[in-house]
Amino acid sequence: MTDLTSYGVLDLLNGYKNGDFSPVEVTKSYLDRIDKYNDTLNAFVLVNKDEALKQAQDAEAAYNSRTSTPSLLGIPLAHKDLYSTANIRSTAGSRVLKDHVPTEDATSIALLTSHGAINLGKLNTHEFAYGPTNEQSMFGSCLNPWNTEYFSGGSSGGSGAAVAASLCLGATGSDTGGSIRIPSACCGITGLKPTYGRISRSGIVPLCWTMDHSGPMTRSAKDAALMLQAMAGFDPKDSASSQTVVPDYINSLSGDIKGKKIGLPNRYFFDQADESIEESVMQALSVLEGLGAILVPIDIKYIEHAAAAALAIYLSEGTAFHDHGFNLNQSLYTDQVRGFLELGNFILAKDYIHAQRFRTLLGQEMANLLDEVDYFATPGLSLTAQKIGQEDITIRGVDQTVFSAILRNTEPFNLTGLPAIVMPCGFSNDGMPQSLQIVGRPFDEAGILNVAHAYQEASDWHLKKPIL
Amino acid sequence: MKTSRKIISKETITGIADELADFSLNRDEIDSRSAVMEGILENITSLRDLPLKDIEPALLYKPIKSKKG
Repeated sequence: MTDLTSYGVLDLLNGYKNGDFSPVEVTKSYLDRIDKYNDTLNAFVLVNKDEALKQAQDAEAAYNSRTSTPSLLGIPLAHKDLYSTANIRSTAGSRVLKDHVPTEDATSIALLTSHGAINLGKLNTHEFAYGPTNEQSMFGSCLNPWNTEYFSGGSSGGSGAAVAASLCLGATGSDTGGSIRIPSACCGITGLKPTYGRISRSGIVPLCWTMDHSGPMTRSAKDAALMLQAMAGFDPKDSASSQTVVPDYINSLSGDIKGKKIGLPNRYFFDQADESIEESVMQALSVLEGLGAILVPIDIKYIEHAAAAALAIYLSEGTAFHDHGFNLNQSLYTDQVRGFLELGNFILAKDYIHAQRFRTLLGQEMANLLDEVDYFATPGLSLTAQKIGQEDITIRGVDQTVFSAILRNTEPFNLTGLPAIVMPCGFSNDGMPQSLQIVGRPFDEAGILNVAHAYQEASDWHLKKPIL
Repeated sequence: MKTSRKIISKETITGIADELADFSLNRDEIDSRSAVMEGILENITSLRDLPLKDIEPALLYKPIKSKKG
């Protein structure tokens, strides 16, 4: 019999409708895997067993009654612990919130639940999402299912590890400098950071208001489209929420990318990427070329200043958000996050404003290029997941911190708010996943999902699973 | 024209922490924060030399509606 945790979202929905298996059977299969493997990975920080089984029973009853069913009925998901969940402990990975039990769900979780999704539990995160490795958390580091000596990537590390290890079918993540895309890339799954304002941030603990995004983390672009469909839309509770109409993402997945122009940056993104990552990404792009896409060399002016601007913004906004309780709770933060929160006090207001002005400058440059091409393509990350505790790395002869290297290719698109998706495209010599990133025009999630879907129809990297 | 800036001193770090931000640092923390902050400031200061003269910040303030709209 096929392992029930191996099916994608549409396979499960069809199986439920045809009576091949039930939501209770599938949910139990996932809970069994969590029970078996979570101690190894530390991905789940809370398992919502009883409630998940009840949701599964309700879903099963709905299928049996043959009434119309919502789009994710009986699909087992899990949520980053940065998201508020009603009556379920939500800690943001910090001792500051260790007993915090919200009374309301975050908007996107309420939407997923209203579409019938099952909540298997809460997932590890770097403390307050303030770091790209998920090494710092009150629950301990989240480990990479491809090699447990390596970090999962962060901050949504629990989401990346749990989806990769088939402990849940999909997960929510949040992305301020790359926190959906980094763990997705490190763990070999598909991660979508939508356009700023596409999915509500309400009910998610902020890191940096002007750069925070939320989105789905899944095994495939098709599953990401199905989750996005439920999560996207205007929310009056989020001041940055967009009223742009939500298109039909599922029906946009034609796999036809013939004639689409993909801009290939001629510097920055590849300059400090590991050689084997560049090789894998170029092979992936040749697959897209084979499907009819046209590669166009481009230069994104001023891109080399993105890291400085991002740093000025998240240090300032992060410190402002935590200002209220920081002095009362200093000893409860991990040393790393406490250090970041202190450093935010030393940024001059004018430098923060310059960084915000830079976003407009960079955004205009990208908009001009996106008049000429449909998408940008870059390596998802310039490195693969590294060993836990490793602070420095040398890539192409350049010594740098793992922290700055891992954010290099993702954070420019948090500054400009453009939609970006990463997908697996190979493995390093030490067996860790490599990834391709596709970036699109504002609110063209359908377009980048379709490119990812086309690639995944023509390759099988996204089907590879770690042996636990 | 390149914007000039002096290296941030440990006295400045201590003063801002104590006098403006209301937290204290021990000697080791002052050393480590000074070193990290100098690197950060070196990066961030480079933004001052970009062609930003006619660009407004991307901050978007939305007027708040009354309950009557």
